[in-house]
Amino acid sequence: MYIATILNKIMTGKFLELKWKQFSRAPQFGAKLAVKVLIGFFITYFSLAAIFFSGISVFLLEKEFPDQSPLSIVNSYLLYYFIFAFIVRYFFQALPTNEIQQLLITPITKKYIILNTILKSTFSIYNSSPIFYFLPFAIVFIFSGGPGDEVEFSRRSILGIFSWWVCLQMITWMLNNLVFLVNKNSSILKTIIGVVFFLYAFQKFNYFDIFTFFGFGLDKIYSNPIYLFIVFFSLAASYFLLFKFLIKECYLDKGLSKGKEKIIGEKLTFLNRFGKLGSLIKNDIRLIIRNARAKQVVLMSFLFLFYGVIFFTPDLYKESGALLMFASLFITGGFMMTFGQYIPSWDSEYYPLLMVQNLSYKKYLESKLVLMIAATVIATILSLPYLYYGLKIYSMIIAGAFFNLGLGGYITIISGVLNKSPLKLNVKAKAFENTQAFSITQFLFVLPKMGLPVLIYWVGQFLFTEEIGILLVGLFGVLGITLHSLIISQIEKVFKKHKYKTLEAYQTNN
Amino acid sequence: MINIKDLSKIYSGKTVLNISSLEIAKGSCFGLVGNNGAGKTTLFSLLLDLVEPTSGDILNQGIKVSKDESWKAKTSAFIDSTFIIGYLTPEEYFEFIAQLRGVKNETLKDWLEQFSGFFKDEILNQKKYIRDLSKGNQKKVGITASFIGLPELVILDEPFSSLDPSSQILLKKLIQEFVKNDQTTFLISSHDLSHVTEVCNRIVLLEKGQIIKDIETNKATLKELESYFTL
Repeated sequence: MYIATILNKIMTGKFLELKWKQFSRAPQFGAKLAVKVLIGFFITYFSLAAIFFSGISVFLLEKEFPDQSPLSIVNSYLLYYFIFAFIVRYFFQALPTNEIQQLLITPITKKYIILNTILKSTFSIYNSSPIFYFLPFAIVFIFSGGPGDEVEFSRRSILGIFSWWVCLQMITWMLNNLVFLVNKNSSILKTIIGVVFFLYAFQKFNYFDIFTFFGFGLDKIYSNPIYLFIVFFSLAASYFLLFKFLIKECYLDKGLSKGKEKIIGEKLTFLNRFGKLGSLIKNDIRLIIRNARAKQVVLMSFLFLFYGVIFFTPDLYKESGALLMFASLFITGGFMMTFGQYIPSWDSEYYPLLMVQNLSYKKYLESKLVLMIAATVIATILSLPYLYYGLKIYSMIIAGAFFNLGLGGYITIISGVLNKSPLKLNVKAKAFENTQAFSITQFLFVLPKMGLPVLIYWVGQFLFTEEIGILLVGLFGVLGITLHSLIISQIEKVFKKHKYKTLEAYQTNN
Repeated sequence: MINIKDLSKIYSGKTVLNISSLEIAKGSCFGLVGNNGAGKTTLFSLLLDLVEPTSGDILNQGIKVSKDESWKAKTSAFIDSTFIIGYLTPEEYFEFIAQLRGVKNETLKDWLEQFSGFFKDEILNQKKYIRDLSKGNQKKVGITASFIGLPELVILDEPFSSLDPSSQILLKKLIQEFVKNDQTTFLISSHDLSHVTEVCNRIVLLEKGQIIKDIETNKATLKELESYFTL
């Protein structure tokens, strides 16, 4: 039904027309268009990169482990991949349940509404990963012979690899249904966590290794595609269960209700003694822990901590200090970049309230800065394991932290003011539609935020030594700290200048 | 309390508000009526410096609202849902506003007791975020917060809509008490003519951004307004 209506709309041109109107009538149309083009470019780039890496990994594995089949090596790790995918999807995947409510009173039977919802989630972008990650691998695997043997095309079974790929796609869909169930029923999540814990314990005491077992199962599917039926039936069962569950929950006071939310972060009394500043920070902490979108973003900032591993590990980058400096900035700047770039958009839902309150911009700005500083300090402490890569790299991280503390925070706030896109706090961002609060100014501000410290470093090491380059980056940060009140008063002016426009933008888009 | 001179607001060529002169005395309860698009919310937004006037000035106790921000200490407002913070509980929200207005936590707790009838055990100690309250209860939270710290000027946009009948009556009583006991000045807009004539001692009727009538409320006011709005 869903596809039929969409097709119908597309055929009559109405759907596209509405989409176009929605897009072209939005504020900042030109900038949004540019952003869409850029995002399209990024998506294409990452897809191609995934396809390329997936394909080439057959050769890499064959070279590294000549006596093993690359397929079974991959298989033995796939459970890790699926667990990771589950966690990511649990936090990030937005489920299409919002439309159910609107459709309930239309003359469409519940059965169709639910089928429509399930179908929609089946075609979610999250389920397309097997196409990018595994299909290229499968194709290359078929067309490349093992080392040593000339063209042994028949040695690798087309049917086998095809059913292997179909199996991964089916598991992805099962994961989709599981995420759906878990999101609507917390006891299922508890069960899963319990099962994982037990399996982990079994593995620890060498009773049963689920990861090997999972890989072994996938090997079997390749060598004997008939086993695919087991997966197929499990998938069908998961769809059936999900359908039953959703039909039963299809009432406003059941699955469609947001449920009674548990109150978290009530106390926070230690912030009371800081007066206005303290209560502003208290609000921000509550904002982060009580809103879906904010939680997502902060989780992302945590991942930035691991950014360095990519750059510091390969020998390829060891020579390029500027590149290492660049990576170092990311490690401590995650929160600043992910959360900070949406200041003051985080407060867009109640910006008029703040604008009429007895509250100076200075206090407001300082509360945001304190938050970013605290996050940067925590990230710096958590980055201690990077000492493993040597003192030079760790001193780069520390210098980067100083820069982020002293200058990065201010630059981030200014870019946020110029951004002027409202945020829906308690709504998960859709994949690749994270553009609501994303604009061209954000891109422009990456230059001073990331480019400037790299440039400072580069000049320092070019004129003097690497050490002086690193020191200079840190010193610029210290300079920013000493000029704090001067900078803040300048930012205040920017805030005031943009007050009416910001209010208007938040109002129209909300 | 409020002095408005030659105030106008033009949105892309269309004049939405044009007031040559308006003065509001301290301690008065000022009602604003008019059909949709008359410019009521625009006037309130201008008073709160949320939009920039095309021309003219607003003085709040002699302070130009678009230049100096010190009026904020004595003024509060509840216009719409953008004046509440959905992810806080009502208690946390009250504490936040009280903190900004310099009211101590203990004082706040005692002060809130006078609203127990208005809250009807649906606001305090519910362990609920404001976003999970009903629209009517959200409104009660917003309105109550605008009274915190006894501001000299309170601006309320459509305070009676989406409240149940007994809460409407209680709110009228509360407003009248604040006017009587604390000399609080109220600016209230409403589509409900009977409420606004009952509670306000002066009513201004706006249409297409112009002041059409300016009435000291008396027994005949409700009739006069009703006959104006009857097509």
